[in-house]
Amino acid sequence: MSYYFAIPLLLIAALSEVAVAPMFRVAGLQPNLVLVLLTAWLIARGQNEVYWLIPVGGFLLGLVDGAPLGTAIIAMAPLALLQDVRGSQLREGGPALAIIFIVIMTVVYHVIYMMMFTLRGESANWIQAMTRVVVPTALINAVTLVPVYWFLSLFSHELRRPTYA
Amino acid sequence: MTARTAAWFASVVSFGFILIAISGVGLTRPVETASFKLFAPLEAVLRSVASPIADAVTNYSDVRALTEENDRLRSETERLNAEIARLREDGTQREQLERLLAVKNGLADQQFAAAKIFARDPSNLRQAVAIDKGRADGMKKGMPVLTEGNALVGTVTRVEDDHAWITLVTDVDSGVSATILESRAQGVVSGAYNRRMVMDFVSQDSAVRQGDTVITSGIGGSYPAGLVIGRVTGVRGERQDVFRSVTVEPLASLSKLETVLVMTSFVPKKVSQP
Repeated sequence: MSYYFAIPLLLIAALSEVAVAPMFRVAGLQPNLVLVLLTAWLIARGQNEVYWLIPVGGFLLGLVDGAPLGTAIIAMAPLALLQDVRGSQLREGGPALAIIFIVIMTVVYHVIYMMMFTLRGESANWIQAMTRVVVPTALINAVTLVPVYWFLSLFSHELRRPTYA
Repeated sequence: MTARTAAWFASVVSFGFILIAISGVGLTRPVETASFKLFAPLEAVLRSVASPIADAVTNYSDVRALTEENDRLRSETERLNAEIARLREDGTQREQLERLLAVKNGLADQQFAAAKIFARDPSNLRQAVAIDKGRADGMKKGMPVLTEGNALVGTVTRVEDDHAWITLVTDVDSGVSATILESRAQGVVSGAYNRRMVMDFVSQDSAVRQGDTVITSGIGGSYPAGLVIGRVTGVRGERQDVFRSVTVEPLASLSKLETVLVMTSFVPKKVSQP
């Protein structure tokens, strides 16, 4: 699956995040579609592709969301660091790992956004944000990730084939 | 962390900060304007595809919600009937109507521009919507935004050439000087992460009841006086507290808004120190 497929998919995810996802909000919250897509991509297809896709996805999201351009790139960058936690072997991590990664990344993503808001002088109640926004959003992202990961896995068999050296 | 990942991380984060810096001085505006024009049709297509599905989901969940709402409204009607009788008795209703009329007359002198909401800030931490009117249409930072029923929606906080962002009154960064119409108690209405609003600094001796109407007070010069913000849904505060905390529900369903009115004739005042 090439970048020709990944980049339009990221664009659709970014546009859906501002235009479609708000229609399906649960308790006023919506999934972070670009983050979910990149996390699923990382687990299903490995780190090399994600190195390029994180800046592209962050840039596209920055073009359409309300935050200053560049914020989404910084917020999603730690995703690549998580890959080092599980090692650099290019094999499938499985849906369980993907769910763990999205939960961690949802927290990191929102913490970075809140730091940016604070730096800009906007008010942020950290405790309320964590309990009312970040934790429920992590749950929503985890639920959203399952079908996205399954879909990406269908196209990633060649990357998950075991190698016998 | 491998050296390769560390180098990548440092580069990407630096790139992000550079983008934030140059967007802060407006250098990325041409790119953002071009992307807005390029992506707007795609967004419209996505929205038109998703809209019927969203409607179907909403209608299904609405059936159950409507049954509960019906029961609640019946008891609410009974309560309101009793309330009206009481208001008639003490003449307060007449005063309230006179005040609302004054509010309405005050708004008649203002000029509005209708705008369509085409996007919402995807960050669950912020409550903001994008409208299809921008600098070219006379939009300016600080202009109040209302629903078609004249309830306060928020303020224009970011203006681009062909679109603008509105921070909703339910956003945590929003703060509006407010008055309770019935008791004239004053306070500040701010947003909360649960999409409700809280009116703080309400004097302990003021009479505030559920169902009271909260309007802008005009203090501070950021909003004209008399715009309806919402209704009181709860009052908290022990006797020993200096102030009471009043929960306020927006009059309009801000999550379902499609069209808004921007008050173009109002310019926020910059109040100097006394």
